[in-house]
Amino acid sequence: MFDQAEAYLLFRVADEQYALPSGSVHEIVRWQAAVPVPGAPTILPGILVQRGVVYTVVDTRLLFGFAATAPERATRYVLFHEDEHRLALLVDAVLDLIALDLTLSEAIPATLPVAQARLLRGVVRHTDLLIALIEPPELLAALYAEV
Amino acid sequence: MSATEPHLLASSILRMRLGAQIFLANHTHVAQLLPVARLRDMHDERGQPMQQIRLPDLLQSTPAPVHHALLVTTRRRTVALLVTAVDLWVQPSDVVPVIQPLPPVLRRALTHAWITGILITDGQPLLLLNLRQIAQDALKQAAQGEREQRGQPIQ
Repeated sequence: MFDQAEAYLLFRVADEQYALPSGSVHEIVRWQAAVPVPGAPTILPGILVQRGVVYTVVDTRLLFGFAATAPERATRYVLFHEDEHRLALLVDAVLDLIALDLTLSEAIPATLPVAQARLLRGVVRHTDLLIALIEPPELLAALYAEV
Repeated sequence: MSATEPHLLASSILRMRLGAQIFLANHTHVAQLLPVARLRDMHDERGQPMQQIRLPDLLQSTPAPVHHALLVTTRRRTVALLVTAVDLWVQPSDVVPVIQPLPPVLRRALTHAWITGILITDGQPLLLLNLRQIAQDALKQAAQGEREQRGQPIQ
């Protein structure tokens, strides 16, 4: 359907739209209560198992600098692989799988909070949306900086 | 025990409940299992009342009742770790005994080495507790508290 290099998973956190390279995404699953790990910071609310693989849940609202909220019907986990890391990104909604033309990407707006800007490779306009492009290694680096 | 310790045998795993959450532990860490009521008249090696640590208070955000005590011997003393209940001693046929290490980001995030691995059973992850480490840290914390009360410097 898409050239793999251009396919992105579009999701929402708070009122913002983000996109992850689809190659890093293994599965989307409905929210379920994660198993809490004693002593873990609130940004890592627990672990879950999907198809025999242990995923560490990451509250992306907290990672991106938003306030935490209770899960709703649209809340999903984006199961994300990067190197040896297996993360379940808790997002407010998964919107679409889209093809993005990265040659049209723009620089990160200077007004964007640092908590978000550090994760991004740029922003791109798609239909009437301004989408923030997440760079997986930077996402991991930001997570490690938080824990 | 560490994340690199060879896989435990399923027969050596103890399953316990803290409130609604189930945890596992290596039963070789437990010297004795008994009802909490029996601790009343027990003393440790120093002749002092047995130190009691409520694991739900230590590991969870919501309080939970405790009914069973796990006596764990550290290098210096024996400590009673209180849990809601010990469900069963897992038999080898019940579970595939593969303990997975904690994910790297969690290993980095945790301040104590109290959880050493994860066992997946019935599709659910169960956390393996290091009871000896918990007992040692609890004793250290209690000793520091006593020193602070006496106004002595903390080492």
